Amino acid sequence: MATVAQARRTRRSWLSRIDQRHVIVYGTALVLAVTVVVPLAVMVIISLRPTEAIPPITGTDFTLDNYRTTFADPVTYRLLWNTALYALGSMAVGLVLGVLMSWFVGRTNLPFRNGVYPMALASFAMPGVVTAFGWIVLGRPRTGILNTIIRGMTGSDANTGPLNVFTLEGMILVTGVALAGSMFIFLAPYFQRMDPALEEAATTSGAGRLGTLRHVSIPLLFPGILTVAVYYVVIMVQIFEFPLAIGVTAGVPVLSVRVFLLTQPEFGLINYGLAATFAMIAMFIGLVLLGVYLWVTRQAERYQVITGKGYRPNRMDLGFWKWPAAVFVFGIFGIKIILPLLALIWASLLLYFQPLSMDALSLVSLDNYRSVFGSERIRNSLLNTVLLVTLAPTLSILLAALVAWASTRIKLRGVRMLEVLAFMPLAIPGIVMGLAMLVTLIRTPIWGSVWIIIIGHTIGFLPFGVRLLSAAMLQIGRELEEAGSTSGATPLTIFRVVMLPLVLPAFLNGWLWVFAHSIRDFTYPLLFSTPDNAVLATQIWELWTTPDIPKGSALSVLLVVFLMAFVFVIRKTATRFFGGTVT
Amino acid sequence: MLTVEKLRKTYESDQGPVEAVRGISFTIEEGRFYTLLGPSGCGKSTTLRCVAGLERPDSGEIVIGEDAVYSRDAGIDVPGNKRDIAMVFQSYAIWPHMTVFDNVAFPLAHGRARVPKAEVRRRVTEALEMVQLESMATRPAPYLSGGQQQRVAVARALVSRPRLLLLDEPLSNLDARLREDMRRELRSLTMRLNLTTLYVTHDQVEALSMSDRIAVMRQGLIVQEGSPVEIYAHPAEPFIAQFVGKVNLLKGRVVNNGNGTEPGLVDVGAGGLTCFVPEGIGANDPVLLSIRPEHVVVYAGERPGATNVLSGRFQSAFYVGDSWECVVQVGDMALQARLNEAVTFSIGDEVNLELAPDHCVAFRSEE
Amino acid sequence: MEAARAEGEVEVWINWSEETVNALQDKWQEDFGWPIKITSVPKSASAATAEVIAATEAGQEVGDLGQPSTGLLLQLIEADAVEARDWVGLYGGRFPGVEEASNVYFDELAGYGLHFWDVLYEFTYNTNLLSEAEVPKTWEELTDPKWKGNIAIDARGYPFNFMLHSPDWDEASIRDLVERLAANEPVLPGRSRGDEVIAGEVAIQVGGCNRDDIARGAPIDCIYPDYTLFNPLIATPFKNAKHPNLSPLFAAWIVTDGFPTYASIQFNGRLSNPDSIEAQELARQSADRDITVVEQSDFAVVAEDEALRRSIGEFWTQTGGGG
Repeated sequence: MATVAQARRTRRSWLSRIDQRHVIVYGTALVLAVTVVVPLAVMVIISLRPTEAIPPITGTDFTLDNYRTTFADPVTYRLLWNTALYALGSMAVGLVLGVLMSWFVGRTNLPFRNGVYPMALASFAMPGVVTAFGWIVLGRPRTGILNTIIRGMTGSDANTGPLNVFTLEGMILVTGVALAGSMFIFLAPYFQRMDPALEEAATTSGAGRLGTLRHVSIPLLFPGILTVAVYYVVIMVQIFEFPLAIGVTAGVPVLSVRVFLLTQPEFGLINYGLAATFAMIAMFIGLVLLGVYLWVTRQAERYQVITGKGYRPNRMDLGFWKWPAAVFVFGIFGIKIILPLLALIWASLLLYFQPLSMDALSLVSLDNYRSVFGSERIRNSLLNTVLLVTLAPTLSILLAALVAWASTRIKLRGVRMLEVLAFMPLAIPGIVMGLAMLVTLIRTPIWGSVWIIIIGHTIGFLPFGVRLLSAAMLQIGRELEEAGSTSGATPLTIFRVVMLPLVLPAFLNGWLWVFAHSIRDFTYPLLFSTPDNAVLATQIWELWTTPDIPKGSALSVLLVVFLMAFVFVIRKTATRFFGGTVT
Repeated sequence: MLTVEKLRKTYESDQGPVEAVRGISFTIEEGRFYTLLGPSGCGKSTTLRCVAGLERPDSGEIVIGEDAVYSRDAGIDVPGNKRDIAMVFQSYAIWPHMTVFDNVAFPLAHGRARVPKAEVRRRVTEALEMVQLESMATRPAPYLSGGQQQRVAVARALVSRPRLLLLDEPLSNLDARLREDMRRELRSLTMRLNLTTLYVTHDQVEALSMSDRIAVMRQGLIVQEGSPVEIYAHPAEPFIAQFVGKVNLLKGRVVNNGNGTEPGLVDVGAGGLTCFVPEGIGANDPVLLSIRPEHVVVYAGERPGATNVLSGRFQSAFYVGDSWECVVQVGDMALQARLNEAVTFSIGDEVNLELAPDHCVAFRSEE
Repeated sequence: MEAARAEGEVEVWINWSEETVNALQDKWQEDFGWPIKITSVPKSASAATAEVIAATEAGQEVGDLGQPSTGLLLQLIEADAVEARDWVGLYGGRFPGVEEASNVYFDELAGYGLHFWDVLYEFTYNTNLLSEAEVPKTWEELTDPKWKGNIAIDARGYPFNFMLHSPDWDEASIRDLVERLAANEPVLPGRSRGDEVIAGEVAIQVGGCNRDDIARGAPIDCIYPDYTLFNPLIATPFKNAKHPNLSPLFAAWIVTDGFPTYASIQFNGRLSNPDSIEAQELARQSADRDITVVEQSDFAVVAEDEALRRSIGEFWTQTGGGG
């Protein structure tokens, strides 16, 4: 027995004194700093360089000219106004539909409600460009398939309308409906996991059904719904596929499209300085919204009524109205997935596009599919695609898991910064992030390889993974990890053997989400596009803009069908392994 | 075996810093069962977690065996996973994604004391036998009852043969009956294995029945350390007296302090009582006189030779199975007494109380 | 030649169909007796030019061959991304046609590339919706409100910039025309082969004639407007080409011996060739009306037209068809 005075005070070597937790935190911070902060710093510099300067950045003359030009131009304010209208409008449409769907699925006896979730996931599989194109084919004034059908049914002899997708309203509606499915995925848990006892308590206190709804259910759900709403405003400020495909003809330019076009020599004066300046504006808006989002999330978590426990919610009997409700819910998916997909399939069966008619039916053939399968260019892009969609989700979710773990579990000063860093890509439009990486890496060998896309996706999709895994990890009792420590396991072993398996369902869901987004994303592959790093998405875009709409449609149909099948199979397999915990 | 020296730990909270542990020291001898007892928030769990390496103290020293594992002055802070300890958590912390076997095998497979596969199997089986769960080895952990999970947690702690076993309120989630069995079982296991044990609880029955030594903690400090008998019979403060069992506290004033050698006399208003008056309390000082209910005898009429007698009116009696808990109103004081035989009094009866002088202790009071 | 053969591969930053690539590979094998592998990276000339300039400045390798317009070639020269060579001396012996192709309209551009093919900007119309007689024949007629919502125009600003080469137009009158066309709320595709007009969404589309789909039976045809805008494309090897030996040889071959194979699939020809579809159609249509082909003659204008194009592109993407 040693007294304190006699105890061995062995100072271990510096190597063995390195705390793994520090290595994890600082290592992750370093990775994030290099991949997030450096490109953004370059972006700031470029926005301060003379307009005509071409990256990579050389020279030391700085000026505020870009900002002066931007803020002196009335078009800028129109852009901001359009962006606000579009982002808020489409978010509102999506939110109303999403909340209704979540309520029907979570709290009523809607028929076939178990089919809604897989449908919503499948809707992830539709690239935005493809949906947008599908909608142009469906809703353009003269030959839009829907317009032709409606005119035929009403016997109208007008040759345009009644729908016109090339308007701000059209753009908002199409985007809003497209959002509803994915918003449902975020909203549904709030409805499904709310403890019915909270409502029952109100009912037993004498409140009527409406009173309960007004005074208990809605206030309880409000913070959750608000976080989703703010999250989607952030996303909508950045989205550019719909505004690019529809908004140019509609005469509704928005911020994200402006940033994109400023880097496209095809369309206008290529101007990295101005692009960077607009990117800074977009980023500023994004950061403000991100601040709001993080604040709202914190408030929402403060009175967490949603627990991890599985409740059996008491479902409202809709009576006869359950059938119209089902038509409504599945109709949204019809509009989001099935109609555009049908439009695409139709386009893919023709050698040149023709409106739906009996005459055109005679032109149908599978030639486009034959040439897609026969295309060496597309075959070559498959290897890159496989590399991208296996590595990017894996790296992104692993990094997200580390960040989530560090920020929820490791008590170190500055850990909070890690989370903010990881959330930055959410605030920064993909187009801005991509541009920043492009100008940063243009002198390195990474430029032009598929790795630059992998890095872009890993970082770009990080916030979603962090959000998902933080939420999952917060539900894991702290003692489960501490038991690992007192059993003598190192922090990394605990992460690997205890934490990761416990959050595996969330991990898998996140992986699938990034996978689906990575395979269909155009932003990064296009910005970084060279012949050597072509991926499937680039091929679709190229066919689309070549333009070879028939072959583009054929390839898109194949991609969407493959993605749906893949998501379906993974979920089925995962459900078998985790007993229904993968949702 | 374990020495904790001037340990301090402060938390940051929304309301500012909270001093959870304010400089405590204690030593556990090899093979002894040592309990930190106190109400929630007294700093006992924080102390344990500092020893386990789950919290980093602000200052002080912690020595396990011959090795300092924490010393602020010497700049030593051995990570928890490198300390020769094992711990059982209040929530058991059984990993739900593993089987019983994998849970128990974890310290040997992934921990400090890694051993070959065959050895793992042998030792896990041995540990499971110790807690009588050998038949459940392949069962997934979530399919166990609370008591079984508890045993798995104990087996996991024992399997690595730690030098020091840390138990953080391990019995508080069990129902009363199971708790009693586990108490006995845990104690006999640690005795058989000659394990040095640090036990944290707020339950005085657990503390009194299991420990070799008890340290009573309050507001981050150890207020008394001693054997269970010492703590129960000679509490250093009214707080301790109250915490380790039921106690009557009577306000009074010292008439004669007995100079610390013989019993003194305290006037409690309803009469003078003979009791032990600790040193340092002078005549006329305000005191609290403590006596446990089981040392109060209630009787009607006169009883020859009785000392320290107060008169009162019988108030109530609750039957609690093995005895009756009675309340007698004496002036403005309600005194509790425990009667082992059937109560023959009716409410409102005039009764006398004899407060056994050997068990009356006076504490300094702030008036 | 041996070095070119050793390279064996050529990467063109031009959008060619697989059919074109395969036919050209076969023809090459036939002409030279050894194979090459042609990779087509589908980029527009303006995108390819911008990328080549950025990559060259960054010291990166780029593709082998592009087909810039005169204005884009000028940019490439200014950015030092292309090299001049003595085409006739190097390849004139093997391919006699090189001498004619080495005439790229301006001395300032001479040596950097070879005349490849010409884009003529026409009005494409849907034959189900309009007869040839109903189709506007002049740019002015296109501004008639009766075509409101019934026109498609390239959002990138083509082809109005080429009007600068005509003495009858100047920047102000071109911008005025564009603004009056905007009042007709055109549909604004990016690059387009005329899908909007093929589908019948619009009756008229301004752009190069898609003879490829006409051959497949698409219900469209083309007329030449009063000012038919002319854009010669120049086969240009890049300085940082991946295959520096094969790329100029390939350029010399594709504009001469390889050209008939190319033209038979892509339906692109040179106006200077009287047998080309373009020349024959032009002859037919100019029989009964005046058609001015706006040829490029003033090098100073070359430097300006690309800037005007981008500025008009800005106009379209900023204000859209709705004005």
